[in-house]
Amino acid sequence: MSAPGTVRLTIDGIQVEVPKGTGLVEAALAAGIEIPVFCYEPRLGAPVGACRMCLCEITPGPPKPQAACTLQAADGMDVRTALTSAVAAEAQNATLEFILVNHPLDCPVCDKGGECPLQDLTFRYGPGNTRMTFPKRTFDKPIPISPLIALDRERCILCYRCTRFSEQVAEDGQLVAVNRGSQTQIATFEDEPYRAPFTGNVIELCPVGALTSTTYRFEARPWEIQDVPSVCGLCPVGCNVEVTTREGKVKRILSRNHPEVDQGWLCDKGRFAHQHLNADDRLRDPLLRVRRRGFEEISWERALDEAEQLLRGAEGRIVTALSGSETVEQAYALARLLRRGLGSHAAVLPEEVSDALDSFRVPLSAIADADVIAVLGDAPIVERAPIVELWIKQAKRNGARVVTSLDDVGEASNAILIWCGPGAGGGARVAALAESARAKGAFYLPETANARGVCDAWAAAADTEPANPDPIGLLIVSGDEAAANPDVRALAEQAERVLVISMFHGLAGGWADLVLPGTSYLERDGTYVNLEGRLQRLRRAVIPPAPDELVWISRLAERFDIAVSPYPSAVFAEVSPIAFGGIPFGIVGDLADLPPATERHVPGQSPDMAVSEPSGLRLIRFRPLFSGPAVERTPELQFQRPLAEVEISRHDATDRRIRSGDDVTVSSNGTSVTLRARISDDLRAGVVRVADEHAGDLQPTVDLST
Amino acid sequence: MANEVVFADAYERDLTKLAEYEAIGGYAALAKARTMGPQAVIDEVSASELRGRGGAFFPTGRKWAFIPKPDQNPNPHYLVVNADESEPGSFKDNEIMARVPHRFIEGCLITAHAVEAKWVFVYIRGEYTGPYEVLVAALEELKARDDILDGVTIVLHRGAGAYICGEETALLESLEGKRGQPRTKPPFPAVEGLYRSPTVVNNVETMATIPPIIDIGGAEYAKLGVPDSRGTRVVSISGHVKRPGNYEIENGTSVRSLIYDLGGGITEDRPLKAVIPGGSSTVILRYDEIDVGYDFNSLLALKTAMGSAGVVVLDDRCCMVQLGIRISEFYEHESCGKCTPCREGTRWMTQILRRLEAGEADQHELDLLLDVCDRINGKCLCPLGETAAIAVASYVDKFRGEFQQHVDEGACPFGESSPLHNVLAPVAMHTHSPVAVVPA
Repeated sequence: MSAPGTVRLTIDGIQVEVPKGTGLVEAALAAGIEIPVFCYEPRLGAPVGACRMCLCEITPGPPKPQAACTLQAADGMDVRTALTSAVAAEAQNATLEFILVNHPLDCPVCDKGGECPLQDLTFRYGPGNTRMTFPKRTFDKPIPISPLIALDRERCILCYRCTRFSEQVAEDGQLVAVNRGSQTQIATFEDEPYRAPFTGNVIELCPVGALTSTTYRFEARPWEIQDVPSVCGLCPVGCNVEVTTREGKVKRILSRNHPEVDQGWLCDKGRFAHQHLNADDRLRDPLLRVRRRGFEEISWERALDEAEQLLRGAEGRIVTALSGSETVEQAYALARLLRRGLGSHAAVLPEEVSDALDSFRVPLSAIADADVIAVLGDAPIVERAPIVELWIKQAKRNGARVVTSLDDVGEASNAILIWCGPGAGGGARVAALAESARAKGAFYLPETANARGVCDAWAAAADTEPANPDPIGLLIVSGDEAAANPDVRALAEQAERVLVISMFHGLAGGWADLVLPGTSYLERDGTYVNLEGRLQRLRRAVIPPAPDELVWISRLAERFDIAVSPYPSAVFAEVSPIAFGGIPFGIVGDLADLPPATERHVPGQSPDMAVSEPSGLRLIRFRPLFSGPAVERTPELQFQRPLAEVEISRHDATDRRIRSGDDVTVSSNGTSVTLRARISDDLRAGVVRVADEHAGDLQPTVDLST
Repeated sequence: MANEVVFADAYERDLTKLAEYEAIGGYAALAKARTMGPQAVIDEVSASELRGRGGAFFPTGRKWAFIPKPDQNPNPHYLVVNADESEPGSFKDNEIMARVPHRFIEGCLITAHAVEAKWVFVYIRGEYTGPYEVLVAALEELKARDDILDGVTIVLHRGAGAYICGEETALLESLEGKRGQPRTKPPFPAVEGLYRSPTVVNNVETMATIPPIIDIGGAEYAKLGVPDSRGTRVVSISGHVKRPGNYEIENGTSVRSLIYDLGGGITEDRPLKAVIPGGSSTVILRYDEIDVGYDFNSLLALKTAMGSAGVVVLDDRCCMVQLGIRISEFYEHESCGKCTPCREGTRWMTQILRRLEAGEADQHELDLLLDVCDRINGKCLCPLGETAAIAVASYVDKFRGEFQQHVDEGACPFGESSPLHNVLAPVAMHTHSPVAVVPA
């Protein structure tokens, strides 16, 4: 009948063969036929069959239209959609009539208008007129369910996508349905603001204009926008995004489903922090420090003169502090100029990076199929690489065990290691641990978006061992992460001169001799390497207010007779054979592939897992997801900033009789901070976590008291 | 009422007392069942041809046989009893639990044995404070009786006032602590029910019928009643009859007999207009359709059903449009809001019916009402919306002239004189119940 593992069925007379377990909606797509849906969204878990948009005539089955979205393709099934079945067409038309009975026809002023599934399906399957002669149901609207999201309950068609996302994907349990029947409403639990890392996804999931973004409301019509496919540059995951622009401004960011990376989910930072592009303190012109007068805006020509002087004046005693947010091309161009041109090899790299993990390289999606996941390193994953947290949650729902100690991995056939926190040795130590645990894959979560790419690009320019200059003639601070790094700040104290590349006045002021305006990941063309080792393509969504880094590096290099192209494609062509196996720029696709894992090394000595147990608790200070220059410059995100709380393992909390919500004094060496306790099941005993901004001067070893 | 099965001895003795129940041979059927082995019990129940008393009339033995064996599915098995009796017009389970709690519990324990379940969850309607307290007391008496309980735990779970939670999958959702909304089927509860484990969901009356079946044997029980509707049925007779109440009848008794013999005839000896045979969700019967057996096949021939056995009798003063509003308002109020046709359609139905009653409706709105019913029927996720549409459409179908009169005359011909206040509680009366006092 059909090949093993597949089933053969007929859809509107067309025979298709699909893998066993394929849903009818997908099976129909394989036949080139649409089964219209609203509530159906496979990423949200099992189908619910709520909206009844997908009703089709299906045999074998009861003699009435069936919700196709809830059924799987089976051998010999005969599916008739609205295309060939009057019953199905009538049923689908009926569903739309019922939905429209109370749906306000405010499409002309609705943000969803023009990109609205309800409009589209009504156009294709719905009634052309209305038979409803009564006043429509009304609710108060719009209701802000958070500073980011507005809820219009009149437009809501109760597909329950948003509540299912909250309950079954993000597992934050904050969006709920209240009341019953035609009075059912979407609400937040206890009417508290929807405060969680992934809230914005419900805006994209909503098939109507019921959940809209407060930052995009009334900002554009779909026919006057342009979407640019790019990659988020705010964390090492590198979620694939669609950047919506209008008249040269970024208006919103949508997900662009890469099934191996992000599954089409985005965190709120990636979705909303684009407003930093238009921050009040955004630098547009170079700044020169003039004695006693502070900064003075200067022309680019003058800035290049000054930069040239700084570079020549340092006589090779130059240290470069890199951010890890530069593109591969920027980092390489800078290295060409400084390393090959001026022989200045000394650099503060964003992180220690090793290629040891390449032999454990798997896509992030492999986490979902793991049977054991060892989460090591103690820093909170969601704060550093949020999407990884969603993959782990999915794995848990699939039945995976999540452990916080390598000893608990046991005899797993498909174990995955994830290291988040200090002590990974750039991944080398993680690789050794993965080897000893016979893990199938392993990840190290770096702190910055392109740490790997920047390090590789820097290394590709020269292989001379750097000699650390003393004293430092010139410190070049490349980018905002480096500018915010206290170690770099300390280095600046010792440097004779400082050149800072930064987007914002706030970060550059005070310590720089020359400031060159920086650009954002949304304004650049180039490549990033994410935490999987996947090379991904950034595309310029909007023109930056200042020349981008490549352009002025190229012009500055000219003054030293060094050829550096101002074009990312040309720079990449140079670096690719050295660092990326010669892959052409044009091949780095919109949905980038993951290079295959390299061969495993012969297992070396088993890694040293002996941890000296300190007398007190180990404090992990972490940089929260909702922090940093971009978040600080997005007013709507301020409510997401971390609460003043300390995360305590259940074991330690029980020992100390601490309950969630208690005020706890965290103290070390005479300094103390009082924070609210939050008991966590994801944390191993002996460790407590506090967000940097609430940790004060606490030392690495702390005590708790109530 | 010769052959009482469910209520046997219940009028002569206080069977809420364990000692009284045991004195008439109570819990002997349980002991007998336990000597028989699970499959033999299922076979016995299959032989009785017992069908579910909740309303769907599914063969009980067959339902139990769907439960996978432990080697097919290692998850625990559950028995869930649907005691969320909420169908307007039905109040039989209330009296069964209140009068013969031990017979009911014995049935649960026999069923648990048959389907190899160690847990029984009784999901009882929140407003049923009386029966709840009776059951609490009965279970209290059984606490020390390991010989009866034999390691089976019976949990009483009170509903929070939603009709939809009488739908078995919504009931399971609610029992799991979720919003009470029906699930899509398949998977059926027998395969993936409570906590995704094999689950049998049975009605209270079904449970109370099990001990007598084991006692007298399936074949003996099947001698009662008529083909496809064996045994007895407790019917709730209400509305315009002289003696409303619950009556245990042999299946196949004529509807006329229910109204005129058991119910004592119409109040004030007025003419009969119509009768709802099986609770609010069934197709109505006209006064000239009552010479029909109260059994599955006879009623099916008239496109209606015994349903949950709520017989609602209406006299000649009842306005069918007003009845439609009452029913439609109920379903609109109780729609869970999950699927579109029910959520939006029941509200629309009510709106059209109100316009008809007010005499504001045009001719096309009468057709629109039928069309809306038609567009709900057969399109919903669960039977709630569908039955609302079927019921209301049957009023139009059987009393079209009266609906037409509302349009033609621009007013209700009955007006205030329609005595619906005795028929089916209006939505406004669906208030929250006081919380039962749980004995320490």
